[in-house]
Parts: sequence; C-alpha cells; structure tokens
Amino acid sequence: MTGDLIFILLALLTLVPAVWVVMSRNLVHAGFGLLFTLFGAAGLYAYMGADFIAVAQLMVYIGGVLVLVLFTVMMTHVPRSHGNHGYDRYVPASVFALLTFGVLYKTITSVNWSASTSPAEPTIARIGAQIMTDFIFPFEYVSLVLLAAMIGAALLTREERPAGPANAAKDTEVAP
Amino acid sequence: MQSEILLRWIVLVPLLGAVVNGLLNRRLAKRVSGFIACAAIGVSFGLSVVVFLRLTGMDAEARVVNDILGTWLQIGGFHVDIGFAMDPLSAVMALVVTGVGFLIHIYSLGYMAHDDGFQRYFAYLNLFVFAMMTLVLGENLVMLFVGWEGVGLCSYLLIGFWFNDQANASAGKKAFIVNRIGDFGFLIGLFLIGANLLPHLAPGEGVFSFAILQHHAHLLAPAATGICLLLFLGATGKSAQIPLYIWLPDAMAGPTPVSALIHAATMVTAGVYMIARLNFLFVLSPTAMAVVAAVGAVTAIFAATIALTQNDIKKVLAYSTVSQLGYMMLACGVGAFTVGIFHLMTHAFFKALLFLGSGSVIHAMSNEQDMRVMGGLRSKLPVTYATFMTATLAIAGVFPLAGFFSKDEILWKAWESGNTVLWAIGFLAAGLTAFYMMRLVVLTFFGENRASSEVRSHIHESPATMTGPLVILAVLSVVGGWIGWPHFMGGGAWFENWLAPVFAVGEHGVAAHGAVAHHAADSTMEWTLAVVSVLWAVLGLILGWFVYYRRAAIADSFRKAGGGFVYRVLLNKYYVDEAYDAAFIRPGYRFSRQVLWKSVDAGLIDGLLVNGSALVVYLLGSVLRLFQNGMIRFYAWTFTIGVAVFVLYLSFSS
Amino acid sequence: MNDLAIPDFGREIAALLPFLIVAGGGLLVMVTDALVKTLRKDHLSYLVLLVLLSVIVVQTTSGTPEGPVLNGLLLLGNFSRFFTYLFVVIGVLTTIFATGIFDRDGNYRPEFYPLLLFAILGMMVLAAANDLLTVYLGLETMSLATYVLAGGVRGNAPSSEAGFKYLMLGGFSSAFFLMGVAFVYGACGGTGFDQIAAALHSGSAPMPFLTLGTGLMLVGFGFKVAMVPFHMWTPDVYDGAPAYVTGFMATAIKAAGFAILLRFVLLTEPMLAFAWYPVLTVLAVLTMSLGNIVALVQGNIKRMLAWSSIAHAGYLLLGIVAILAPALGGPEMMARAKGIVEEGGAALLFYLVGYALMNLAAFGIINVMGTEPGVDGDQISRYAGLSRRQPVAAATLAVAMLSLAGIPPMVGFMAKFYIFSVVVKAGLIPLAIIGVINSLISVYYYLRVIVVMYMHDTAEDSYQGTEWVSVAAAGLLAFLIIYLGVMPEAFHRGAEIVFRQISF
Repeated sequence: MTGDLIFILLALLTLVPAVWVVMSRNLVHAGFGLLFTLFGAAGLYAYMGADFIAVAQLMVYIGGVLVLVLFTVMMTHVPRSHGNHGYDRYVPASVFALLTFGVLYKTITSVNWSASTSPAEPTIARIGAQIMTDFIFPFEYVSLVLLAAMIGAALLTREERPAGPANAAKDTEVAP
Repeated sequence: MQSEILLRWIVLVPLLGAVVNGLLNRRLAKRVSGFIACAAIGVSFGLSVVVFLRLTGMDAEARVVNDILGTWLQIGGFHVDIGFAMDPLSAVMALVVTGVGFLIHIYSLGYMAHDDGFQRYFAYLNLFVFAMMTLVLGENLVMLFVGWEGVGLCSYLLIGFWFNDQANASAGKKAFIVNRIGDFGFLIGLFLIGANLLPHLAPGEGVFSFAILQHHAHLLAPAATGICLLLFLGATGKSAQIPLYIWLPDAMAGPTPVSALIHAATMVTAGVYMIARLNFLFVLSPTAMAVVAAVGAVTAIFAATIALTQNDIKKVLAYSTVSQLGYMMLACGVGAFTVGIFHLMTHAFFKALLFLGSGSVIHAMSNEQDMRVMGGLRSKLPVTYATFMTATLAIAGVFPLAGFFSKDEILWKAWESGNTVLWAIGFLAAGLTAFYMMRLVVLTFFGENRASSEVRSHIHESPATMTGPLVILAVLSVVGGWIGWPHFMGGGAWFENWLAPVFAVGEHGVAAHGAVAHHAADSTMEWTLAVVSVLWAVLGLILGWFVYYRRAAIADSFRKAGGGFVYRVLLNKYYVDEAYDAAFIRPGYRFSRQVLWKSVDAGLIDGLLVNGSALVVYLLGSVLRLFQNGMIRFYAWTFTIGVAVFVLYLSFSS
Repeated sequence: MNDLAIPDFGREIAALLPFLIVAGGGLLVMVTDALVKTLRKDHLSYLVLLVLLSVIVVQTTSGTPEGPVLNGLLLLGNFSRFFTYLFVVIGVLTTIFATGIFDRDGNYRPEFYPLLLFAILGMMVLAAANDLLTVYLGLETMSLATYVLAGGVRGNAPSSEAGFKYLMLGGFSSAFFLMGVAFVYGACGGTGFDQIAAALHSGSAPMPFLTLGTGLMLVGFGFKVAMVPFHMWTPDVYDGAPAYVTGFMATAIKAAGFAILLRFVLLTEPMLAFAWYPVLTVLAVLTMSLGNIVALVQGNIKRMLAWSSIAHAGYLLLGIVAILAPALGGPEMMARAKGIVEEGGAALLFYLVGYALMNLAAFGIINVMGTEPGVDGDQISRYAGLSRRQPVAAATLAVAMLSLAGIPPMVGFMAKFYIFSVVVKAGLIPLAIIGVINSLISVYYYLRVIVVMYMHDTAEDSYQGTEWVSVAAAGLLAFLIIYLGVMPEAFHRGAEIVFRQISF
C-alpha cells in the first residue's frame, strides 16, 4: 500500500510539471517545470530498483542538460514567447501524444508480465564490471565519438579570423 | 554453328570511328574526320559482304555463323552472352544498313560541308551505325534491346542536332517520350518471356538467345498473345505505327541525311525486323498477328491520306515512310515475313534516295522546304531530278522497278490470306502513294519556279559527293527488286529462297493455323492482281500529273470540294496533334497558370510544358516539390506522421 | 559472461587492425595539423590517403581472422571486408575531390580530414556490427562526423543550414531508433544479434514488442538511406553541403545504411517478414516514384541528384522486398527462397557499388564545376556547352548520367537488371513493372543534363578553369562504370560469394 502511494506521488511529480512545461508561456518557468519532471522520472527509476539509471538521470539530465537549457534561455534573453503561442498546434500534438500512448499501452499490456520475486540488488558494481570487460570496446569507442563531436563543435564555433601566417599559431591554440 | 570472328568487327569498327571523331572532335580537320567516318562504315560494309559470301557457300539449313565474346550475365540459371550472330535475315539487314549507311555517309560529306558541328555529326552517325548493327547482329534479345536503346539515343541526339532551334529540341523530346512508351512494352515483354521460360531451361542455356527461344517457343504458347502484343507496342514506337507514329514527322527537323538514314532506311525498320526475327513467337498467337496486320494496314492508308496534302517536302516523305512501314507490318501480320523484309530492303533504297534527293533540293533552294515556293527545278538539277523520278516510279510500284516486286508481293499475300479488306486497304493506299508522289514531283520539279529571285539565283546542282550516292541508289531502286522476281513471272524468287530457312517455322506456323486458305499456285490470279496494281499505280501517277500540272484548276476545285472540309482535315493531319493538345496540354497549361504560377518557377514550366504526356508527371512533381519548403519544423512533422502511421500499422498487424 | 579472461588477445588485435588504423589515422592527422606549423594545404591529404591505402594493404595481405570478435560485438568476414573496401575507396576519392578544390573555394579546413576518417570508421563499425550497441555507436560516429562535414563551410549560409537540418532531424531519427532498440532489448533480453536470433527462434520474445521495436529501428535506418517519408532532409542537405561531401553522403552513407538494413532484415526475416513486407513494399514504391517525379522539375543538379538518390533508395528497397517475399510464400516459394535471398543480396551489393561509382563520378565533376565563389554553380544551365570547353569532364558526367538512367551498357543498367530480375523471380511482377516505369521516367531528367552539355551554347558566366586530378579520377570512375557494365559477371559472382557467408 505504501508502495502504491509512493508510486502515485512520483507519477504525479512527473506528470503535473510536464503539463506545466507544455502550457507555460514563460520559457524559464517551463525549464523549471522540466526539472521536476526529470526528477520524478529519476524517482521512478529508483523506485523500480534501477539505481544506476536513477543516478545517471540525475547527473546527466538535471546536472547537465537542464542547466545548459536554462543558461541558454537566460542568455538569449527570450524568457517569454510572444504572439501566437501555438495553440493551433495543440490539436495535432495531442493526437500524436494520445496515439503514442495508445500504441504503447496496447503493446505493453499485450504481454503477460511476471513480477520479479527476487529483491532488487545494487546494479552499479555489475554495470561497472561489464563495461570494463564485455563492453570494453563500446566504452573506449565512445571516446572517439565524443572526439568527433568536439572537433565539430570547435570547427563550428571558432571565431572567423582574417587568414594570415600571424594568426596560424593562435588558431592551433583554440583547436583541441 | 560456325564461329566467325569478323562479326565483332562489323559492329566495332563504326564504334571506333565514333570514338575517334568524338574525342578528337575539332582537333581533326573536316576532311580527316569525314574520311575516318566513311572508312569505318566502308570497312563494316566490306566485312558484311565477306561474311555474307561465306554464308552463301554453306548449306541452306546451316547458314548461321556466330561470334560469342563472353558471358554477360549469369544469375542462377539465367544466362546471357555478349555475342553476335549472322543468319540470312541479319545478313540482309547488315548489308542494307552498312550499304545504304555508307552511301549516306558519303552524301553527308557534301551536305554537311559548311556545318560547324561536322565532326560531332559524324561521330553521332557512326555511333548510330554501331548501335544499329548491335541491334541487327545481336545474338539474343537482350543484345537487340541494347541496340534498340542505342539507336533511340542516337536518334534523339541527331534530331536535336541543330540545337539552337526550339522546334528541334521539342521534336527530340517528342520522339523521346513516345519511344519510352514503346520501350516500356518491349521491356515488359522481355520480362514475361524470361519469367515464362526460365523454369523450363537447362542451366547454361541462354534464355534470350534467339536459337534457344526458337527451340522452346512452344513453351511460351500460353502467354504468347500478351508477350507479342507488348513486343508489338515496342515495335509501334520504333516503327512509327498507330498510335505511336506521331513522333516521326516531327523528327524530320533533323538534318536531311539523318532523316534518310535513321528515319527512313534503317532505324524505323527495327520494329519490323524484331517481329520478323521473332516470327516463331508471333505465329503462336493468331490474335497478335491479326492486330499487327490490322494496325499495319490502317497505318498505311491513314498516313498516305495525310501525305496527300502536306506542303513541306520532308513531311510528305515522312508520312510516306509511315505508310510504307505500315505495308511491312501488314506483310508480317499476314505471315509473309519474307515479303515484309523484302519491302524493307527495297524501301531502304528508294526512300533513302527520295530523302537524299529532297536534301539536294533543299540544299539548292537555300534551305527552303515548302514545295509551294519551289517548281521548275527539273532543268536546274538534272541529276537530282532523274534520280528522284526513278525513286518515285519505284515507290509507286511501276514495273520493273524495285517497289513493284515488294509491294505487289505484299498485296498478293494479303489477298492470299483470305482477308480481302486488308488487301483493299493496301490497294487503295498504293494508288494514293502514286498520287501524292506525283504531286510532290510536279510541285518541285515542274512548272514555273515560284521562289524569290534571290533564292533563284543561287540554285545549283549539288556536288559529286552528293549526286554520286543518288545515282547508285537510283540504280539499286531499279534493279534491287529483281532478286525477288517471283515464280509466276518466271523468276527464281531468289530472295524468298534465301530467307526461307529463317522463316520456315513462322510461315509454316501460319499455314498450320488454318487461317490461310491456300490458293494452290493460282498464277492466273497472281497475274491479274499484278497487272491491276501496276495499272492502278500508273493511274495514280497520271492523275497526280493532271491534277497538279496540266490542270492546276482541278487542284483548286479538289481543294474546295466538300466545302474544303475534307482537305482541311487532311491538311491538318486529322487534327491529331490538336486533339492531344486540347485534351492534355491546354487544360494542364491553364491549371498551371492559375494555380501554380505564383509558387513555381514559371520559366521552368514554360521550358518543359511542350510535352503532352510528360505534363501530368511534371505537374505532379511541381506540386510535390512545394512540400519541400525548407522548414525544419515541417520536415519533423512529416517525419512524425510517417512514424505514427508506420507504428500504428505494425502495432495492429501483430 | 563475466569472467575477465580475454580470449586470444592477439587474434582480436589482428582482426581489428583495419579499424585501429583508421581510428589512429584520424588522431594522427588531427595531431599533425595541430603541431606541425609548416604544412602546405595538401600535405594532410597525403597523410589521409596513406592511412586509407594502408587499410587496403593490411586487409588484403594479412589473412584477417573471421568470425565474431570482442565478445560478439563485431562480426568480421567477407561482408564487413567488402564494405570496408567500398568505404575506403569512397574515402580516397572524396579526399581527392575535396583537396582539389580547397585552393579554389577559399574554404580550406583541416578538420575535414580527421572527420572524414571518423565517419569512415563509423561506417566500418556499422557494417561489421553484430550487436545493437555497436550498431548505434557506428551510426552515431558516422552521423556526427557527417553533420559537421555538411555544415562545416564557415560563413556559407546554405552549408550551415544543411548541417543544422541534418543534425536536428538526425537526432530526431536517432531517438526513434533508440526507442526501438529498447523494445527489442526488452523483448529478447539481449542486444547481441545472436541473442536476438535465438529469442526469435525459440519464440519466447513477445511479438508486439518485436514488431514495434524493429519498426522504430527501421525508421532510423530509413532516415539514413533517405526512404520516404523520412527523406525530407535529403534535397536541402545535399544542396547545401559542398559537392565533395554530398558525393560522400550519397554513396557511403547509403551503402552503410543498406549494409546494416540488410543484416537486420536477414536476422529478423523468418519471424517478422509478415509485418515488414507490406510496409516496405508500399514505401519502396513511394520512395522511387516520389524521387523520380520531383527530380523531373529540378533545375539545380545537386537537388536533382538528391531526388535521384531517393529514387535509387527505392530501387534498393525493392531488392529488400524481394528478399522478404519468399518467407511469406507457400511451400513452392520456400523451396526457391534460399536462391532468391542469395541473389537479392548479391544484387543489392552490386547495386551499391555501381551506384557509388556513378554518383562519385557525377559529384566529382559537379565539385569541379561549382566552386567559383559567388556564383550559384549548380544550376544545370551552367553546364551548357561543357562538351566543347571540357570534353573529358563532359564525357565523364555523361557516362555517369547514362548509368544513373540505367541505359546499357553502363553499370547502372546491370545493377537495375539484377535487382529487377530478382524481383521478378520472387514473383513480384507488378513491382518490377512499377520499377521499370520509374526508371523510364528517370531517363528524361538525366538525359537533360547531357542535352544541355552537348547541345546548348556555352553560357556567359560558365566556369572556364578545371582541376585535372579530380577530372582524371572521375574519368577513371567513368571507365569503371562502362567496364562493370560490359563485364559484370566476375564482380557479381564475387558479390554472391560475399553475401553467401552472411545469409545462412
């Protein structure tokens, strides 16, 4: 019973701010709404015993992505959207959302799920071991993916300078 | 079956000529370029003669040589070779194509002497002969198709040769689109043959090889009608039969020697050749044969009536070509493949001559093509006149010129097939042919010259490079038919015997179907018909002479007869172009002006609108491109809707 | 699974050598650029060519081990090797084309070279992937690198727009793809292809999860190969990106996308053909028809080729449909199924190679032609009279166009022929007919380019210069196009052998 109550609270914590995100006219408010939603999702993961994902959710989304979003919104000085608020797009968006929900619901309920009986164990150690053994290749390889992304980011954001030998050295300082 | 390595060189030497001329282009002096091109075709002709002589030395039944270069395709049990083969039928075609082609090359030396694109022109011309020889000598249906596409491409390039002319570009396009429709039928026919035959073949047997096809033709019997009709659709495109004939008259926009070579003597006969080549297949389907005969006959008379009233000298000849091709189809349709090919050959001689003669006239008249401002050229262009007159008598079917033998044979075979209606149509068209050809001659060569004095002062006979080929072709137009001197006139029918092994199955097949009531050697009837048809031709000629020369007034009253209605209908080619225009082009144009004008680049539409049948596709494309609006949010929405539909389907299908 | 012993370390390293060379080469090029101050502009390109050539040498000379490596994350064999060759050759040509015009367009950017190598690495991983995890990693390496390649011409608005659009929509498609992976993982209990195959065979995996999951993954693949309705990015991105990048995207990314799609279809075919077959049939027809119809009205040669690449994706999808068809047929079909699957796969491989040849030849020439700063160089009208100004370039482009149109004896004809004949063999004659109609329509817009080049007078502002190395490379491709069109047999048999290893 307590378990259900916790679940319902976490679900509400996820859903109510989500509605706020969609409805709010103030982008900063919407960003903060997202914070609660993501937090609620992390709670749901933790509640299901997926400790690693819960922590990752907190660190990556709340600690990284969301902060970035809020900074961007504040730095570009558009806290409030003006004019047409896109209510005309609510209808197709709702249709699509309901549709997604329907398909997911149908798919998930079509399977006979057997509830896990064993108590949840901490997974972080196992995941760590796996990453360093069976999945060492993806782990190492991801660094290359990130490197490619970094090169790209550097290339796209580097300030344009008049070409010339004097500036060549400075260029290499900025490049990764 | 013997192997003969010369065959590949018959095909490849013109390609070499095309490559040299195409790559070096202007770096070659005109003289060198022309020499290379002519020499290439000359060598090809010489080799054809050599191989032909080898064939004559062999037993009648075994007269096939081939030259397999290698395997082209090998998928599972599916096997196609790159190879060439020459049997009596392809020998005739090879000699005609390279022989007439050679003469036209020589003629072009003079005709194109002052043209800027001299080298390019000869490169295309050589390329055409290469493609045509691939078509003719190809060992299998796929090779034939390769050549088929190749000649189409060259035709497209050569029609648009004088590219700064808008009419030429659009004529090229028309030819292109109409031929696509035909090719579509051909390709689907090919697929059907493959699909029906493949399961029955031993591995390694080339499914499309003509020898294999002939051997296994009976397996195709259930699907024969469909296959033959689809192949025939291809033939109507290439050989300008109803309903796909509309491109050929417009194709006359190209240089005149091209009209002679491609649009009269060789390429347009490819459809007839294909049907003759696959005679064993066509005879399996009496329905298809009947369609071929009917379309041929109707085309023959239809085009002949249009030719009566055209004023452009090349247009008359163009419709005349369509009409004569109809005769060839008629012959094939009644199972007389030999005669169809016979007429194909004689027609190549006299029609090439007519076109080259008209080229000489146009050349003399400072590029004027309208016969209404010609006249009286007889004394100024004596050689052209004499040869042109010979060709006219030949096409009209006057004894003993080439046209008489082949046309008379066709009419006789139509009669013999028991279908008098076909014979009557052919007979009527023969009279019309004589009539409009006489009209052409009178308007061009007789009476007063009606050109401006400026043009008149420039009239001169063409140089020897042009008149030489004319004379040779004139001789051929006279004697070319003698090799088919029929039995009932005491001749050896040598041509018929030569082709007999190729058509043994086919012509026997028709007889076996019982559709033919054999009038056993009814030579009295044959005599009667021959005499009647000669008289009929002479009557047509005389009538033409009277109407247009002796009594110009009659021509006028003829024009006014029936309130001028009939004349106007004919003059306007039965309004077929206009009907296409009204049905497809105008409404589409209006739609685009009112609906799309603001959103779609008007210049682009204008540039492409000329195509009737491409229009629908084109408009569709123009509308669809509006969705490509560059808005990323819109793209994402399309994406999302796509996913939604996709996922919904999958979720409900399981 | 959890023991720490790594089986035969030497074998794994040897097997991974081509991958390591490309990855290390990318780093080397980057570091060289940063540290060596006296580089001339083309020096880096030599280094890249050296790296790529050494991949070919290593892969050809050392008998690289076959079979699964790295705990089954990658599957090496003829299939992966075939695609490595293809990607490396495309990379070599792209390097040549790009280097050739860096001097001219004033947009030299050394980052191009390492990014190109990383993109190739991603494609190699993709073609060798044997686990959904590696599929995703390969996909993302390839994509991230190409987003930047497409958008990396600084100060050029169309290029930036192209990169941005590709990035946004690419991220979008990745999200769907990952969701699909999650479903499949949930259904099969593992991400390895072997585990998925086992789960499918035992029938333990819940069907709705599988159809939904694989469907969403198909969206991801469909985006990469420009399948309708996930094609909208193609014309804008192809148009905005520099021509040498467009050539790379049109050939290598398409090949990589179809490589993984082919693997995936074969993996799931026995169970999921019933769901995929109708969807892919409809999408294949839509893809080729839409591509061809819209290509008809394009006046810009890059946009025209973009739509043409959509159309070609449609022809390739026909091959996939033919592979799926036997699994649905009755017993008579099942007897022929193995043959059809093998021929279909071989036809697809052949098509991808042929398509790469002709598109690279075309883009090689377009690249040379369209690089005059400040001129919209890609209008077809600018090619007027090219045959007289630059006969070799014009002839090369003409051969490429004829081949794309599928006119014999070019390789494009043979490629279509193989695909259509498999489609016919699978009993799908209506599809073959639609394919033929489409390819007949397409002839029109390809030939228009030839007509403009050979029959129109030179336009006023036509570019007069040339870049000989690029033109020579493209000319070599044109030669190969004709050669493979006339002598396709040996190569096609090779493709069959390559495919047989993967298709059991």
